[in-house]
Formats: sequence, structure tokens, C-alpha cells
Amino acid sequence: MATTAENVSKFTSKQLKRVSRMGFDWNMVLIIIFLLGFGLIMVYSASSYRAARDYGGNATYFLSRQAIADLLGIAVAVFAMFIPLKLFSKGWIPWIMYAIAFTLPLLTIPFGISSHGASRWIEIPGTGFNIQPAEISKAAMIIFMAVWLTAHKNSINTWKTFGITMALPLPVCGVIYLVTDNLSSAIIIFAISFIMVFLASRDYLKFLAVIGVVGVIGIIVIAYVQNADISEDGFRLARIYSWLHPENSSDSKAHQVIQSLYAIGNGGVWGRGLGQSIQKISNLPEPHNDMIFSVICEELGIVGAITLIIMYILLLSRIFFIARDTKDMYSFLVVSGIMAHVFVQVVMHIAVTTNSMPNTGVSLPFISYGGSSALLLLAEMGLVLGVNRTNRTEVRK
Amino acid sequence: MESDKNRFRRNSDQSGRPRISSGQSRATKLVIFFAITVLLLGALVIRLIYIVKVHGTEYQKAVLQNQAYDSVVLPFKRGDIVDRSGTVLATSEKVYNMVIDASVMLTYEDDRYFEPTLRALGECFPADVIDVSQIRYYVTNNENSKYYVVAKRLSYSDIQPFLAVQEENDFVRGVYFEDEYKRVYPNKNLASTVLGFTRKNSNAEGQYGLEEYYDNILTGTNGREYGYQNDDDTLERTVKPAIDGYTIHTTIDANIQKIVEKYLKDFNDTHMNAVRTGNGAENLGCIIMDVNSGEILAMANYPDYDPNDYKNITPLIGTQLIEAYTNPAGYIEYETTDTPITQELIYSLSEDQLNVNFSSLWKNYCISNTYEPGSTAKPFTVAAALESGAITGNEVYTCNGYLEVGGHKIKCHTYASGGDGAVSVQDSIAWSCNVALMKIGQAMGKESFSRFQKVFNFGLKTNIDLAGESRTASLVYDAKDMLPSDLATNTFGQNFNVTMIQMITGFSALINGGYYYEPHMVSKITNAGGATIENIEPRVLKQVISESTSEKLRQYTRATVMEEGGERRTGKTARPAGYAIGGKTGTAETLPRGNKEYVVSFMGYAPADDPQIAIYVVVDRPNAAKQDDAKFATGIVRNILTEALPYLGIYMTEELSEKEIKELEEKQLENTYRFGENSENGESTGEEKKEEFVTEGTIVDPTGEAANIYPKWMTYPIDPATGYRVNPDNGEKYDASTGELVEDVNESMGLEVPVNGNLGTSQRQDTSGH
Repeated sequence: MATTAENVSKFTSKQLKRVSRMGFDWNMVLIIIFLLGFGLIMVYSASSYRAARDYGGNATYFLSRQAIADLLGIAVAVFAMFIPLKLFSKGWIPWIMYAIAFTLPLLTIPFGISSHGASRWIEIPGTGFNIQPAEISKAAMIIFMAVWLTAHKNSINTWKTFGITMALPLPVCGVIYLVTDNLSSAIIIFAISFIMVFLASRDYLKFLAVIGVVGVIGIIVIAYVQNADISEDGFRLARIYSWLHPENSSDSKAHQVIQSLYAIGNGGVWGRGLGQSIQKISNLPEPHNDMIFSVICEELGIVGAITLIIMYILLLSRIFFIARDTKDMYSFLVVSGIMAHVFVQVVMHIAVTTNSMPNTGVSLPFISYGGSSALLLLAEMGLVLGVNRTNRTEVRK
Repeated sequence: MESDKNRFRRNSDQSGRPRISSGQSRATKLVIFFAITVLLLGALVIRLIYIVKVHGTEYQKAVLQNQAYDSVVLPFKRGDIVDRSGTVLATSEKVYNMVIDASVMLTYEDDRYFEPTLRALGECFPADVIDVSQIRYYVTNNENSKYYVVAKRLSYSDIQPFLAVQEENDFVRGVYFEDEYKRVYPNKNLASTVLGFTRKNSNAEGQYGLEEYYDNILTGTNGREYGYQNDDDTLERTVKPAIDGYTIHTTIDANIQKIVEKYLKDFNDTHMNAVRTGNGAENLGCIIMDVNSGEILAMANYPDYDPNDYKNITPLIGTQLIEAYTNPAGYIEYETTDTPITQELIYSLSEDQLNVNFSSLWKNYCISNTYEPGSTAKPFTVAAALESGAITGNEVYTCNGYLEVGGHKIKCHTYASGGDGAVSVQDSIAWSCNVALMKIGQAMGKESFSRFQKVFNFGLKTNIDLAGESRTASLVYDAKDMLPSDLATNTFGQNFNVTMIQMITGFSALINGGYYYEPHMVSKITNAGGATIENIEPRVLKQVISESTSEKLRQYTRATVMEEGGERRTGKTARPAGYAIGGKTGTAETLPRGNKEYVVSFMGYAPADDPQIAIYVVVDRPNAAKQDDAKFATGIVRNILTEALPYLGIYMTEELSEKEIKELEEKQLENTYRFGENSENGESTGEEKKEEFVTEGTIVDPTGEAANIYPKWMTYPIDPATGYRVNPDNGEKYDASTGELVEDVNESMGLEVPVNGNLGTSQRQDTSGH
């Protein structure tokens, strides 16, 4: 018995090595598969009660839709693995990418589906599925910025090019924020671009200065809001106030955050057990989407939450190594841009659910319910795995 | 991994070269970026641990409390109030509030739920109950609303058709019903001021009377229905049932209560608008008490109201308008004006004015209002004098019609005819002689008199279990403040204030051998299942006089009503046919003196040889030209006792005259059966009593022809000057409509002595307020 088992494990590890030699990062794939599987479990747990209530007893409504999106995403990822990355940097394609990132959100005006007071989705006719253009914009902007920064890698250290480069994502961010009322996606795109510029340039000072200035402004705003008279009508910084004092705020966003904190507190160290969340039943808004991390904390405790965070660190480290091993600036920037994308969303999602930043809806990569997000993130993973393949082939040569 | 390491080494080998490698720079930056990601995620982990460690317990509690958000309140049922035989006086009925969940109605964009649901609502409810277009408007404008109350307090029969439709049609969704309880008083006005009501006829917040006094007993605890997630990830519901309030069993007998209220109303209807616009009297009050336990069998006043609709203005019509004003000291005072509230006036009153008058209407006159008792206080004075040894009962006083006290000439009601002459102690009560009483008071002295006022609980609350009993501490004299004229007027019940409940509770003690029982309304408390929670036994607080004094008092008060008191006795019109009773009349002049307004009363007990019940009727300012006539009160007493005594199973002991037989035969057919039953229902004790009563009547009526005898008084001619029928033989006057003998006896005395300053405003309207 023991020998057989050993043989099997030897065989598998041998096989793994062979595949890995072919340029396939099994570690990363396993992490993604784990995250997707865990995500489906949590989506089901978080959504089944509401699905059963709102969709005529169909408790698996969200689960099945997410499973379809994940499978579709895996197929897209496999396809993306074999697309030569260079293809996107040729001719007008980068500018087409930019145009897509800018115009797709505009399409929600004529073709939009409204939900929760904002029109963020475009229906794909005949399928019953909707697509969120902001997710496509994110991926398109990563490609565009990588091409742009590669082209200007020498002049990026000048204030002029730096300024132009930093201004490039702003129109896209503006459209996403103003047209689809999606502040979080706008912030995410800007943050990704900022990180990519940082990685592309040789300079540190500028970034320290920018971060320093933003930090000082932030502290001033917080200090002002702390002492401000909130009873004044039309208080523009209400969202920040409700972040600092969620318990005193009548704002619905603050209420969501309080409920999220309650969920985390209720979960404690070990959690209430899978499926045992109370908060998901009615108190948490979007328990299967923007607030899924709270449900994870409530059901699996901080132990489960830390495990999940470690999985993300492992995934990011895989992408980190792949980025480090790239030969050319362009693929380095694409991979590290994708890494920044995953990182920014994970940090923002957890920060919102723990009230570490003002509330804005961000989905948790690979876990939250949302077809567009899953599809695009998996496609990006496909690109990263494709870059890895190229890296390895070149190493072998 | 191995290749990674090699590559890393190779890089560091190259680092010695003197050129700036862009690859190296970006690798460093990437490491910095990765380090930041790990640091930030680590910071969030610390934040998580902080939340759980520092706020974990607090948030956990909040979640458990928050479950209420997802749970349904199961309302408790407020306890019933029942009479001594279980007749329901107050109960709570389940009603239903219709709630709309707009988000469920609009689940599908094709309105597959919305339209059928609206159609079903339209078909199942009349348009004045449910306005479908209004629901359509609300739902389309509030698509996320989950809770919107459309209609309140629907009965089960109202919602039953809709429930049936909902059951069979799957597309009717988004409408549900919440339970609520509504307070209901099935007998409407019966015992209204005793019962009180609940705010908005809800489950809680009892106001006035028993509802307020026993509010925490009647109130239960709400239950909850919680939703929770079971192991199969489906929502299950667990129910923590509501605990219903306790039922209180009052000592009230609904039959007697009904008899009492009938005759109070009768009196009012007879005298309404007689000489002034408005009710037959400003207030009418009656208490019937079990003398041997302090249990209240009936307590009523007029005007009363329907607690089901306590904000109805109709009962206010006919009462005197009460106005609130702020006195110079800054306190709000109430004053009864001379303006009667009429149909026209009431619509001109402001909300505040109405509320002032409502709070007066809702008050229980029998415990909340204070007044000067008048001659009904005389038995107390005599009892105190006998008990203190100041008199023996064998004294004879001389009455010249007045007595000069402290420079004041205080008159007896016989002043005009030159006084009563020789008056024994018994006669002093039976004839109600003020002069004799003043002399008895002087024999006692003010210390002794004042001490016995405390013994009889004047100036103190009786602590009856009803909300709103007035304090009278400031309305009686202290011995040290008492002038000789104060003592003199106090002996016959002027110049100090009492409540009705004080008077009858003290009087019961005078009659029953001296035992002062705490008056009470509730004898038992049971839970919703009928199990006894508490029995409330009669409680003797003290013995106020000895049995021998009590026996003398029974004798004296009997003489007031019965023949041994002689022709000058004042209470003969109170005697019901067939019975011997004792009692005392009272006619008190109100403030300001000389305004010809009086509070007349009669306080009595029955039967005379074995006292069972005490009865006290007060007529506050009867609507008559000549108010100072105790017969306003004795007439009511006689009517009540005529029906109540047979009902209580008390045997007749006196012979019936032919006139009385006729009267009884007319009456006995009604109201001698128990309340809530009709007379054909033969099983009840009431029916048995009725039969006893019939037997008794038959024995005394040997001819059986009584019914055909024409009352003699009806043959007398009417005197055009007075409107009375006058017996041409002896000049006796009879009321032309009732045939009652009209007495010339006049108890009014035209008091010209200093008045207790505290009585001033409280005489007309009690300011202690409820």
C-alpha cells in the first residue's frame, strides 16, 4: 500500500515537473482553482437564502450563474495563454484598447440595465447574462498603459511625460465614475496605472512626493471632518465622516459597514461555521458580492480570513516571480499591472469590509459573485501564464 | 524554484557592472511593490484581529440583538377584566394589519406578481378599506420598500377572502398580515370609569381605573419569531411565544352595576334640562359595597362614556364646561364654568379645551372628586362621641332651631319652624338635627373629634385598587387649627371634604361591628390558562369602633328610614318595598354659600337586621329649582335596592302594601336575572333568586288583585301653584308623575360661618387631578 502511494506521488511530481518545464505554473493554477472553488462555496453560502427568497425557491441561482462564468473564464484563460502578448502592442491596437476602455462604459447609457440606482451593466442579447464594461476597461487599460510606458520608458522620468502619463487614465476613470457611478472601478484603474508608472520609471522621489502630498491632504481632510459640524446641510464629506464614525451616521453606506463589522465580530476567531452567518440573511447588503469577505469572517472566523489572505499573498508571489523573470519591459508591465489589479481589489475589498477606508463597493477577486469580473480576471491570469510559458521557453533555450 | 534562485544569483553577479540596468531597477521596484502588498495585507490582518479582540463581544451582542430586525414580533394579548361571575368587561381581540412588500411584488419586470396581486386586493376588499390605486402608486415609487402598512386593524373576516385567494394563486405575492390586539369593551359604557381604557385601544398603556392601576398585571410580554439558518442552509423559524397578560377578576357584579347605571341614567334623563340646560345633575355617583369584606359590588357615575370610543364627544354634551387657566403662582388650575356644553358649543372648542373636559369625563367621580358630605357625616360624629365616652346614647338635647357658636348663629334645618324641640341621640340622626350634633361635638371636644376623623380615614386615601384616588389631607382640619365654629360645622359634615369611597368604606365599618376593610375591586388574578396567580383576600385594616357602638349606629340609622324614627325621619323614601334598611340622608351646601346649590346624598345599608351591603348615592347639584331635597338621592337608592336586593338573594321581611305589590309586579319581570343571560335561561342562581322573590310576593299578596288597584294619590287634584297633587284630607303633597310624597322637611341651613380655605376651588373641581 505504502509503496503504491509513494509511486503515485512520485509519478505525479514527475509529471508536474515535466509540465512545469513546459512553462506551466501549476502552483499558480492550483491557487486559482482553490480560490475559484472556495469562491463558489462562499457565493452559495452567502446567496442561497436570498436566492431562494427572491428567485422562487431557486437557492442555487447565483451559484449556477457564477459556476458558468468561472468555466467560461477558464476557457478564456486557456485561450489567452496562447495569445502572443506582442499582438496587443502592434500598430493601432493599444489605442483601440484605450478607445474600448473609454467608450464601453458609455454604452450603458443606451443599453444599460439599471440596478441599485446605477446603470453599470450591458445586457448580452439572448443570453440572460450581463456584462460590466468597467471590468473590460480595467484589462484594456493595463495593456494600454504597458504599451505606452514601454514606448516612453526613457522619458518617463521627466516631469512632462510623467504628467501626461498620469493624465492618461483620467478620462477613462472619469467616464466610469460619472456615467456608471462606479467610483471604486475608477479608483482601481487609477491605482493600477499609478503602480505601473512607478514600476516603469527609475525614479522614487516623484512617487514619494505624490504619496506624501496625497497623505498630507488626506490627514487634513480627516482632521477637518473630525471637527466639522456635520449638521450643516449638504455636507460634501459625509462619506468620510460616516467612515470615521459609522455608528453616528444615518447614511446607508455606514449602516452596511457597521453590519460588516458586526459580522466580523460575530465570527470571532474560529467563525460560526460554514453556512451559519446570521448577517447575510438580511443585514448585509450584497453578501455574495461587495460584502463577501464579511460573510467569510463570520462563518470561518479570522482563521479562515487569514488563510484566504495567505492564499492571495501566494498568488501574488507567483505573479511576482513571473513578472521578475520577464525579459522585456512590455511583458513585465503587463504582468505586474495584472498583479497590481488583483492586489488593489483584494486590499480595497478587505479594507472596506473592515472599515479601514471609506465604503465603496469592490468585489473580491475570484471569490465574489460577478461574471464579468471573474471572466476578465481569469483572462488576465491566462495572459500571465502565457508570459510564464515564454519566460521558461527562453530559459530552456 | 531552483531556476529562480539561479537567476537571482546571476543578477547579483551582474550588479558589479558599472552600468544602470533597467532590468535591475524594475526588479528592485517590483520587490518594493511586492513588499508593500504583503505589508498592507498584513496590516489588514492586524486590523481584523483588532476588531475581533477589542470589539468582538460587543459586535456579537449587536448581531444577536439585530436578529430582531429579521424577526417578527408576536404580540401578547392583554389580560381580560371580568366581573365576579366571569362576565367579560374588557378583553382584547386579534386584528390584522396589512403590510405590503414592494420589492417582492416587483420581483419580475413583467409584473407577473404585481398585477394579479393588485387585482386580488381590489376584489377582496371594499374600496374604502383598501385603495388599490394608492398601493400601485406607492409600490411603483418605492420599489425597494419591504414594509408598508396599508390598512390597520382588519378583522379576520375582513381578510379571510384574500387569504383564500393568496392560498390558491401563486402569483399573489408581497402582501402579508401582522397580528395586533385591539382592546374591546363588550358592554360599552358599563363600568367605564371603573375600567378605564387603553391608549388608542391598543395592548398597552392603560389609562384610568383598573386598566391603569393593574397595567403591569394586564400587560404581557411580546414573543418573537426568529429566522435562522439551519445546517442545510435553509431558513428555519423558531418561535418564542408571547406571554399573555393576566386576567383580573373584579368584585364588580355586572348585574348590579347595570341596575345602578340604569337608574343613574334614568335620573339624568328625567331631570335633564329641567331648570338649566344640561344633564340631570352635574355628577351622579353610586357605590355598592359588601359591608363584610370591603368588596365593591358596583361603582358607577354619570356622565360616563364608551371606552371603545373614549374620544367621542357625545358624552360631553350636557356637562358643564371646564376651563384650564394658569393661576398667579404659575400652576394650571381648572374651573368648572356655568356654561353647559351644548351641541353648538362643542364644535367651537379647541383641542386643548376638549382634552381638559375629556380628562374630567374619564375620571371616576366616586374616588377622584371631593365634596362636603353634609349630614351623611352625622353617624360618624355620633359614633366617635359614643366610642370616646363623651356621650352614652341616653342624652336628650334641646333644639331651638339654631345654636350660637363662636359668635356665629348656626342654624338647623328646622330653624324656620322653631326647631326640633327635645331630640334624643337617635332622633339627632333620624331627624338630622344639626343643633344636637353640634352639642355632641362640643361634648367631645375638637381633639377627640379630630382624632376620630383620622380613625375613620378622613383625610387619608383608602388605597382602593383604582387609579386616580384623590388626596384629601389638606381638606380636613387639624385639631390645632380648628375653631369652635369649625368643629360645629364639621359635626354635621360641612367645611371638610371627602371622597365617596372614604364615606362608604367608613360607613361599612360603622355598620359591620367596627371593622374597617380596605376597599378593593379585584379578588383574584389568573393567568391566560386560568391558573390562579394571586388571591386577594379581604383585609381588615383596623377596628374603628366597638361592636356595641356599631349596634347603636345600626339602630339610629335604621330609625332614619324605618317607622320607629317617627314622622320627622328624613330617609323614609329610601326604603325599598318589602325590606327594612338603615341609612342617612345628606344635603350639603356647596361653595360659595348661599348660591342655592347642593350636593344631596343617601348612604344606607341593607338588610337592617343583618347588614350585607352598603349603598351610597350622591347627586351633585341636581338640575332642579330646589336642589336641597334628599329625595333626589333616596329615590335612586330605592329604585336600585328594589331590584338589587332580590337579585342578591336577600329575603323580604316587611309587609307589602297593595301599591308596592303592584309596583313590584311591574318590575320583577325585568332585571332579576343575571347579567348577560336572558330570563328564559333557567339554570342560573339569578333565576332561583327570582323565584324566591316571586314566592315571597305571592305570600304577602293574598288577594292577587293588587294589579287592578288604582293608586290613591292619582285621584288627588293637582295644585296649580306647585304642580303637586294634594291630598284634600291632610294636605300631603304628591309628585304628580311619580306619586312620591313631597316632604316639607328641608335640611338646608344657610351656613354663615367661616369656610375651610382649602375647600375653595376643590369644591367645584378637584385640582389634585388625575
